[in-house]
Amino acid sequence: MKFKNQIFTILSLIPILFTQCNDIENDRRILVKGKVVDINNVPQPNLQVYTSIGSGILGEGVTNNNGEFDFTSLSSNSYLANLVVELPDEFKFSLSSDETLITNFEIPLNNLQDGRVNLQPIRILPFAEVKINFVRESEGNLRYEIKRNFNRRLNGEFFSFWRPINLSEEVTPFRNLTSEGILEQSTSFFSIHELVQRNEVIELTYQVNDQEEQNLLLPINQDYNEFEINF
Amino acid sequence: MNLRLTFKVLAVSLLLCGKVYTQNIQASAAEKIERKEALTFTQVGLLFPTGLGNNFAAKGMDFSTGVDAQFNFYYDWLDLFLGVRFQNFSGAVTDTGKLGNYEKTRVNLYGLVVGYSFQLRNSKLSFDPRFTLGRTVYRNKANFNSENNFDTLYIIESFRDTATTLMLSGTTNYKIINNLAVYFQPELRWDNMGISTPEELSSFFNKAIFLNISVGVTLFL
Repeated sequence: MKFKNQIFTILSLIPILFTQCNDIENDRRILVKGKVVDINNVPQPNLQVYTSIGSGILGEGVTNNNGEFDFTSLSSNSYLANLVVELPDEFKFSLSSDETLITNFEIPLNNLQDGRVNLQPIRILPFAEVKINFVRESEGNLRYEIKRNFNRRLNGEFFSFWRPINLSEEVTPFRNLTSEGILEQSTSFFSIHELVQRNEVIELTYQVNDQEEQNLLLPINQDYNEFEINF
Repeated sequence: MNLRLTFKVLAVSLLLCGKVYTQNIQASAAEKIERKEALTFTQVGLLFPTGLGNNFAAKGMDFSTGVDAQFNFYYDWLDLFLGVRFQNFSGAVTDTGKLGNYEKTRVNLYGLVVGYSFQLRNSKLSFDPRFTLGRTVYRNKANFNSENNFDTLYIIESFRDTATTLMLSGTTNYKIINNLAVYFQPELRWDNMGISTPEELSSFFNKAIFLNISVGVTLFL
C-alpha cells in the first residue's frame, strides 16, 4: 500500500516537470515600429529603443535619421513588459532628492494589436520636478487632486487621484517614494514631489474641510518648480 | 463472335492473367526475402543542416552539426519500408533585430518515415528515396542578465516554437559488410512554423527551409 502511494505521488509530480513558467510567449513574435521626436517634432536619430521585461531585453533597435525604428521582438504578456527609449544625453535628468538619474522613457507594452506595437510618435520632452507644499495655518482636512497628462505618449491617458489627508492628527513626518512621486508630510505641512515634464501644465484641485474647491493651473517652466499653498 | 462468348473469353483471360501474376508475385516475394536477408534497418549519422531561402532560419541563424537517427522496417515482403525518425541540431541567433532577442535554439524533430529501396543488381549500392512527416520543436533560450549592486545574475528564459515538418530524402547506402552499410543522404526539409506574427513578418516566420546532408552507418537486421 505504501509503495502504491509512493508510485502515485511520483506519477502526480510528472506533469510539473513539463510545466513551464515563462514570461516569454511561445510561438509568437511582435513587430515594434515607431518614431521618436522632440517637442518641436524634430526626429531623434541614433537612440536605442528596446522592449524589455524586468532586466531582460526582448527585442531592440536603433532610430534612423528620420527618428524611426522597426524591429522584431519576442512577446510577453507580463504586465512588467515595457517599451523603453533611451534618452539623449541632454534629456537625461537627475532628481534633486537622491540624484537618481532618469535615462529613459518607459511605455507599458500592453497595447498590442495583432502583434503590432502601434505607437503614435513618441515625443521626448525634457523632464522637470515639481514640489507642491501645502502649509497648514489651521486645523483641518485637506483633499487634493492632481490632474496631468501623466504620459503624453499614451494619448491622453490621465493620471489623477483624490487623496484625503487629515493634518489635524499628530503624524510622524515621513517620506515615501511612490510611483506618483515623493510625499513628505508632517503636522505643519504636506508636500507632493513629482517628476513631470517641462512645459506641461499641472491642474491642481484641492479642498480644505468643507470649503469650496480651489482650482489652480501650475505651469512647469523650469527644471525645478516649487509652489506653496497655505490653508 | 456473340456477346456471351466474348464475356467467357474475357473471364478466362482474366483468370489466367491473375494466376500468372500471382505466381510471379509469389516468386518475386520469395526472391526478395531470400535476397534481402534483413527485415529492419537502423540508421545513425551526423547531420549538417543549412538554412535556405528568405526566412528566419536562413537569414538570422547559424546551425551546427546535429544527429539523425532512424529505425525502419520493410513492409511485408515489399521493398517499401516504414519507420520512425529523430533529428536534433542546434543553432545560434546571428541577427536579433530580425528574430527577437534570444541566443540559441535546439531543434528536435520526431517523425514518421515512408520510403522505397531500389537495390542495384550485382552491386553493393542501394538507393532509398524517402518521405518524412513529423513534428518539430525549436527550444529557444534567451539570456536575461540582471545586474544589481553585488553581482550579475544570468537568468535563462526559455520558450519554444513549433512546426510541422516535411522532408524529402534520397539515401544512398553502400554495403561494406553483410549487415553494415555507410550512407550518404541529402534531403530537403520544410518546417511549417506555427509562429503567430503580424502580416508584415508572416512570410519570414511561417516557414524554415533546410538543405540537410547526413552521413553515417546503416545496420541491417
